[in-house]
Amino acid sequence: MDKLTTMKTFLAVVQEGSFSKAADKLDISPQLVSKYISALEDNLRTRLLHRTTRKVSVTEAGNQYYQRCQQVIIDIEDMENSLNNLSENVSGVLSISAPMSFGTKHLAGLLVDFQNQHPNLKIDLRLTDQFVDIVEQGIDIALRIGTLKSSTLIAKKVAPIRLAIFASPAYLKQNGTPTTLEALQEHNYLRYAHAEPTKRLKGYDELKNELKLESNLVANNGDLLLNTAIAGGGITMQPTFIAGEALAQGRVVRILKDYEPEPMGLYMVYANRQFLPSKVRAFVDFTSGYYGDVPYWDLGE
Amino acid sequence: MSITNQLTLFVDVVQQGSFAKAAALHDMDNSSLSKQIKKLETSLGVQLLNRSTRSFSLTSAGEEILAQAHILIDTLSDIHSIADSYQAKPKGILRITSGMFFGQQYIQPAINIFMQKYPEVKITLMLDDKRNDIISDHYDLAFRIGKLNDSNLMAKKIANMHFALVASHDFIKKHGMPTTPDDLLALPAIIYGNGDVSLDQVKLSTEPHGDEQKIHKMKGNYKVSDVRAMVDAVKAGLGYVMLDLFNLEEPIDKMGLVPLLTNYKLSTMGTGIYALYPHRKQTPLVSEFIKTVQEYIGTPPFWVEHMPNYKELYK
Repeated sequence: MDKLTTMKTFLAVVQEGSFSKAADKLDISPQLVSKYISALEDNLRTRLLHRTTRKVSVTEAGNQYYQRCQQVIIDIEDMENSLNNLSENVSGVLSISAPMSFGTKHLAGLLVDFQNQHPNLKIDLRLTDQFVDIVEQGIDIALRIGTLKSSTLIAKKVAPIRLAIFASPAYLKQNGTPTTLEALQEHNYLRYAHAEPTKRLKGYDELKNELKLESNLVANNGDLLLNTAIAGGGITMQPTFIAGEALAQGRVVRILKDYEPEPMGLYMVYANRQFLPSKVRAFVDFTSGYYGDVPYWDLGE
Repeated sequence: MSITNQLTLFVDVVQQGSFAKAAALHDMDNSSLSKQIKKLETSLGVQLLNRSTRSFSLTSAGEEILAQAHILIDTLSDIHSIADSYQAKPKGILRITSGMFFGQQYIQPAINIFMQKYPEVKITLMLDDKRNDIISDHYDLAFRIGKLNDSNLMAKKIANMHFALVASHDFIKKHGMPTTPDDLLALPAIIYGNGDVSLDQVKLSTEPHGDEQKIHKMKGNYKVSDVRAMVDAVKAGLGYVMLDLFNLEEPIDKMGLVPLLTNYKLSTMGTGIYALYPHRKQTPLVSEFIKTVQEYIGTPPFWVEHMPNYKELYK
């Protein structure tokens, strides 16, 4: 039996946390996955996985083997990538993780254009606003908003991200337009559930102990909060890539401009490798500069 | 913080299996959560958790106290439910979860209607295509699409499924109109998949209008974890797709799409659209909200109109 195949199968089982999901990922049957793992364990004379009826977990030995195994597979991929780069042939599966609202609003066009250029490349797009560990989850490229911490990854800026505060004209007519952060406390503030960006507001630091923004709706999705604001439900702070269209159509207006946070960035994040897989390089090259310094969603004003 | 609140935090740390997740659930930071657990341990005079750098486990005192804390929290929750059921008008906080697209498209308008009617209600809405655990994440109500499998929950079906196979006009011009399942399966599909599920199976009758059905696996180059991105890709002609009519925001002819193999029977494989809630959350607030959603989407749901004459298709 091919050792490399059994090693790759083992990696997939650990990453996916189950035999059946690993089988899906590798496009082979769960029985074959189980056979490969047993063969690998027999060969090493060591138990790598604990199997229970519901899930698998890694043994101490399995964990050690996993770390080294991952490095060996990366080295082999690097070796192959260094050859592939010469041939410029882009194929395989490119898995991309992206923030939910950005993905649904602005990524579809880019992916269609990209895939038209590389028809042999399969794309697996996972949209989520949760933080993903790209190495652990086997993701090639993650698009992320904000500032970056991990130094083992490469980050390349894709577009500026601007936050602004919005409400519908009808809401403001009925409830008045706040012109200070203190005045914002009198309004219904539609609040974003993850890492709420309120603290990025200019002037927030001086006020933070006194400032209390009341909200009757908390949601983990910016599009939804914006739509609630459009329907007259309150005031919300959103990135312009979500609100730009509604702003251009006059369905919302920008208020409290003096308090808008400093612009952030959308970044492509990928593993720092000596030889970047050609599929990753193709995507990075394609995406850099795709949106420009002033993206189309910021042109409406 | 009161001891009941501290015990609630303790239960959540154990249920979530992590301090960070429990802290997120209560909108507090890690260190203050950990401080509260330590305070609880000090005031009880026993250690509840064995901590290591990467994980923790329950001490035997912790295990016994956990069991009693569960009873306490259930009783408290019953007390709140009783109080809520005496309110003439629904009030309080409603924690709802739903899939991304369904939430944006159908739950949000219902929320707008609901909140105008009941301005004192506060809502937290968490959209996620991966299924959250309703009980341990403290949801009052979940909207789910698929097969029912969680027997611990109350379920109300709010709509039937209406599957269809569609592709863009350009796609059909390029590949030709498929007339048999084999023709169809030779074409590239766009597959919805989110790590939990991969919707790559289609169950079709072997003959037009036939009774014998067969499950096929669809193949394609694009797998995506979001309904809107999936439909955009179909509109752009990257492939055909099997979807439910609730995935459509407007009539298919307006979207440049055509239905495929409408003379074959297409199975919805026992799926439906459900509102789920824990037994102890049978409050007027929850049932009133489900009613608002049900009225908004209609029976049959208004999206069935997005494919003309659907009643006669896929039979």
